[in-house]
Amino acid sequence: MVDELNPDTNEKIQALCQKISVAHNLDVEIQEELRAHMEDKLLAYLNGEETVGEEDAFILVREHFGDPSTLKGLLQDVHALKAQVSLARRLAAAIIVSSGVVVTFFYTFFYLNIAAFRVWPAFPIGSAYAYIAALVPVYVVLPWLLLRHWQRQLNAGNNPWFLRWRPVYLVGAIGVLLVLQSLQNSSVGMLFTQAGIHPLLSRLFVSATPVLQCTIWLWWCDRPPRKARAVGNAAGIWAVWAWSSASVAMIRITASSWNTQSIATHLALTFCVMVIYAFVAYGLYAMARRAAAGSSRRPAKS
Amino acid sequence: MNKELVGASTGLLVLGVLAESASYGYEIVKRLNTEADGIFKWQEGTVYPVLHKLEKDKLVRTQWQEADTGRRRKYYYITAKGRDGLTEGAEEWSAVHKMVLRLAEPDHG
Repeated sequence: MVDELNPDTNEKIQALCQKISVAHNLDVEIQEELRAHMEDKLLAYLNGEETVGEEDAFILVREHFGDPSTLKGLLQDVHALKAQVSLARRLAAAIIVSSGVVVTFFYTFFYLNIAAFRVWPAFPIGSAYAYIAALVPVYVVLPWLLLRHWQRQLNAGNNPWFLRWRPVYLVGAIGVLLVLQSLQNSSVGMLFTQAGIHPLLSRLFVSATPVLQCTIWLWWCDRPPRKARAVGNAAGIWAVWAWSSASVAMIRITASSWNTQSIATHLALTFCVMVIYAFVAYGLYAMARRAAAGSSRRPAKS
Repeated sequence: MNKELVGASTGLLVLGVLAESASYGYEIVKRLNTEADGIFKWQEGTVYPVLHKLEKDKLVRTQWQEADTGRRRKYYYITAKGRDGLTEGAEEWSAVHKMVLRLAEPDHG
């Protein structure tokens, strides 16, 4: 029969009593009484006088298992490859990279123009050709390269920034970038007119760029567990993002004296256009996936 | 079981345990849980506020005693005032109990 506790356990009991005493400002006598009770209970368990019920057994299991949040973090570190990245974080990353690249490009382009003008006064500031030539790399290729890079990091078991950042930082970054993007956004169609490019070609170019960009978003968000709804949601969010980043520019254009449409009509039309782009991208992506699935099912040639 | 109902009766139940024999914290909780027979389980720590309130109201008195093992325990003894309180309380509970049963009868009213 056990009738003495080892010094370590005694210390732990003492510490627990002190914790209760400090929290409730209890005197030494009460502390002593609680300590005696805890000792009795512990000895009763050790001597088999107290049986362990289901509830108590669960407490033991939980305590022995360790802190759930710590364990979660450790498991995520080991199984990062299998850990699911939420759609919200993927979308946040897509928005930040898409807006970030455009904003960075615009301000860099703007200052490079000014610098070129200072060196060479004949330099055509805001060259439409240069801007248009940079659009596809900026809107499509660069975001795709960056997203592909982070997907590879995920596959390698690393945690890219969009998994580490707190939600508030992600939302803040999106807000700032959307404001900056809205301030710089201009009508690409107008640039085509300046450059004297054929209207049909300009329309094709202006339509293909957002469709391609949306398709990249869909590729980025279409990850295990694959759900058609997730891809649809991504397309919807892309339409809202594209519309919101273009809306301030749309208002500016609408407010021009030469425009006869109301701001509300212009915004509604812009939104409809973005939704159509998203639909087209969704359709193209679905077709591409089906084609890829079909080719992977075909038996390999011997 | 309703926690409020148990909370309201704990003082009386502790007095009932002490009316049989003087006891200390751990033993009182053990006795209560045995008597409850699974209807309710008293948490170890929650009995002390009740015991200290009973002591403050002079329904119980305390005395430190040393066990054979050398460990000191604070024993609780029921006082005369405590016994009166237990009788009164039991009568009150009995009256409420009867009233509840009467009102809860299907053909009542």
